[in-house]
Amino acid sequence: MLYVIRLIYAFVLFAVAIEASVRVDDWYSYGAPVLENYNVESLYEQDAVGKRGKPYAHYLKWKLNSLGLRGPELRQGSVRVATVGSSETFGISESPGHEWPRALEKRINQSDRPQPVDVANLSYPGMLLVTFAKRLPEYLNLVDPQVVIVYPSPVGYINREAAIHYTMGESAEPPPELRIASRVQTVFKRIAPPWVIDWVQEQQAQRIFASTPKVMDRAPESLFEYYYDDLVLIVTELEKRGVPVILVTHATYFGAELDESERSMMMSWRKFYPALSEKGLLDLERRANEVLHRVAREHGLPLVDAAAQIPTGAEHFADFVHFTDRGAEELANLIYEEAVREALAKLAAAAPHSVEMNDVP
Amino acid sequence: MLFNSLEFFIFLPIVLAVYFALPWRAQNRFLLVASIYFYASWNWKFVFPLLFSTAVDYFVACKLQQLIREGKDRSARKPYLILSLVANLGLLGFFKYYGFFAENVYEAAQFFGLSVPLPTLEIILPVGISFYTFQALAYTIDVYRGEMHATRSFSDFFLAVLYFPHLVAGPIQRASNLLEQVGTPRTVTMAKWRDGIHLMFCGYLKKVFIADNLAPYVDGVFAQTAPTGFDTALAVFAFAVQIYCDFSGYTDIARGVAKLMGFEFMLNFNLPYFARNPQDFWHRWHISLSTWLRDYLYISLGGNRGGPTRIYRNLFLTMVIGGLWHGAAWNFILWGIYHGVLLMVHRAASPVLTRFSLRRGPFGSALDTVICTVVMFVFTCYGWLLFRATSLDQVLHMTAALRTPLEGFDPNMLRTVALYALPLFVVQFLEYRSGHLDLFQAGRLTMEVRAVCYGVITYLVLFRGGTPQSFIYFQF
Repeated sequence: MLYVIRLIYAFVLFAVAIEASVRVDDWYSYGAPVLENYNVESLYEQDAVGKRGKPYAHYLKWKLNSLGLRGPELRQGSVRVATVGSSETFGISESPGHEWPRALEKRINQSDRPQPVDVANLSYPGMLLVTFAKRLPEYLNLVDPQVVIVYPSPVGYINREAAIHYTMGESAEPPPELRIASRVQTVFKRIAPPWVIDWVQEQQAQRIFASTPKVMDRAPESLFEYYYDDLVLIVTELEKRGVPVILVTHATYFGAELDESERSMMMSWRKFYPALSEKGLLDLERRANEVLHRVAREHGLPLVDAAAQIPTGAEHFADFVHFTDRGAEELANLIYEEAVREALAKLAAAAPHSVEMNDVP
Repeated sequence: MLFNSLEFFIFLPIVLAVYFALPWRAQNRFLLVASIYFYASWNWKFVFPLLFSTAVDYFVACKLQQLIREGKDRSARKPYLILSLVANLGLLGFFKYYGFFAENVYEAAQFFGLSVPLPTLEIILPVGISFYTFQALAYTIDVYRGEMHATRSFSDFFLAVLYFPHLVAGPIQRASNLLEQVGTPRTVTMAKWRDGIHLMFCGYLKKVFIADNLAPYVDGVFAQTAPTGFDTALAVFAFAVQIYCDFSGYTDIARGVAKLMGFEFMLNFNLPYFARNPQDFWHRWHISLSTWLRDYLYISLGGNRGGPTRIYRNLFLTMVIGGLWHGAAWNFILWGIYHGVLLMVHRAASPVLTRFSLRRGPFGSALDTVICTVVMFVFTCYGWLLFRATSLDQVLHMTAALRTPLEGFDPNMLRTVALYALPLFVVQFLEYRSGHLDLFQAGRLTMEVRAVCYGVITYLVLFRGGTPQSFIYFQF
């Protein structure tokens, strides 16, 4: 009996040692707190407007600067280009320094320019246009961008209220977490044979789909109305301040029609948005991009059609919407060639001094 | 199927479950089938040379035993021994050395303006061929010498050679040791399981956390055309740690797995980097190979009999062949020559070294040990440069770079390598100081301490391990 108790005690110690190792490793590698929770939420703080990046926060490979923005510090005297979006723009799957705003910055500075250009990445995962609109005046003062590129993600609008709730930072304090759990998931994905991963994903998806009462093949029109209104809100505010805006359509892993080989990836995506069917998600993307075209037309804005030009599939997308290094670089090049180069040239021609004299730290 | 693969982690529990459900004789037959499956998982075609080599040795040994019983002398037995040697070494020669031989003959002929029509074959080296041929050869030589009786059991002999934990990278077991364990029911105790699991944890830590994490840095430096002096020195040091952890990690896992089934394998490493001289190094590094070379090659060449010239020749030849055993490439031969020369010089200089030894009082003795160990470690590391290099040009370039070991000093890289190497050296130093190789072995630690250690090791192996690499010694 005593031996059994010792054995159970040893198992508990074993588990505690693993969890302690994760925490010590996080502390050693990333400066993470040992006793508190450490997850992507560690990157944010809450203020009166809602959630925002915490200055100097870092979580795993993601590092924020003194303004709470992803990327390096903005340089004094630099021309500022700002990027707006959500996780695709923040950069989830790319290697550090390869997210598309950073790739765009490299691309711009490769060209012969009289002064350096900094790209301020104003995005964070889950950001909605409406929540960004609330933060816009603050960002304009903080960054003073000469050009703003908007690469919005429409899927957050499927459940807009919940997304607003999240981006306003109104979620309840999460309970203490076991950090080992996420590591186990990562290792499982790395070592398990693909058919096992597919099977597990399918089981998870079926559970989620089974608990979804109504699945739509077509997103409601109200979703696109909100999307349009929020986009116009931002565009109008920027136009009011004389900041040129570039719109970019939302690209995904998938083509216009779902290929059989893409079904597993689609299922992974749908787990997050079970209210829409496969067809419904593709339809959402198409119609949301039509909204972008419409806004661009109505306001005479340059539009980069990334959805039509970025090749679909695994080479450019690490998952359903997030880019690989290659995909991010391709999007950056596309945006530069089709809109940014001209926008910067126009600015320089119109008011060279204002472009050159940005002393905002 | 690598020990550090998911397949092995599925394979092993199944094997253990079935093994313990069977009676002893059936256990042996089951292990034989499992071992063949384990080997065939690389390439099923490789099973045939393996079975051929083992079958030849089985029949040769039976015949030798019959001749011994009939009172025939060694000359009557010799043809059978030669048959075994030809079959085993022929197999090894064909698979491992033919390409090397053909390439060098072709190049030499071209140098003299001749044309030698040697066919070039794309031969894939069966994994572990050097290990199992040496093991099978040892058996026939022992029977030939009358040092052991040949077994009559076909399946016992096959299991002794093919037993999966040691099949592909040793330790090269003596037939007498393993056949005895195969031929009698094994007793599996809680202590054996405790020790076996402990060895496996240590092995995985060495292999996956230390060796696999150092591999990219070492590979990167050796892939450069002109690495700096600092990179060269650090990469050579890192390779010394990598190859030790890779190979001794494999051995630990093999010994641990064997223990779970009640088998005992011989010790293969005994703190080799604490060797005080070349002879001591070979008593500590890859012990199963060095004792094999001593017993079956060095002694067969005459060993310590005869004058100094003959002894030096035997030493030199043994090490050159030992080098060649590692692979069909000039760098392995160079490595063998290097160690042969080290052994010869050490033997020649021993009387002088003893006279100048500092062993006067405890301080002198300790200083003596430190100096000898550090000097031998530096020599060993240089040997690893020869071993790891891919061409003679690279050896020359890197040797030249070593003259300025601080050129291009990179504290970050030093810190990274030290992170993996330092804890290992500390643990081994404590073992060396205490004189107990088992200082941190399972029996000396309480269950609670082991649980904490295993928790940390599990984390390091699963979540901080390097990109999975094959075991270095699998290529031999």
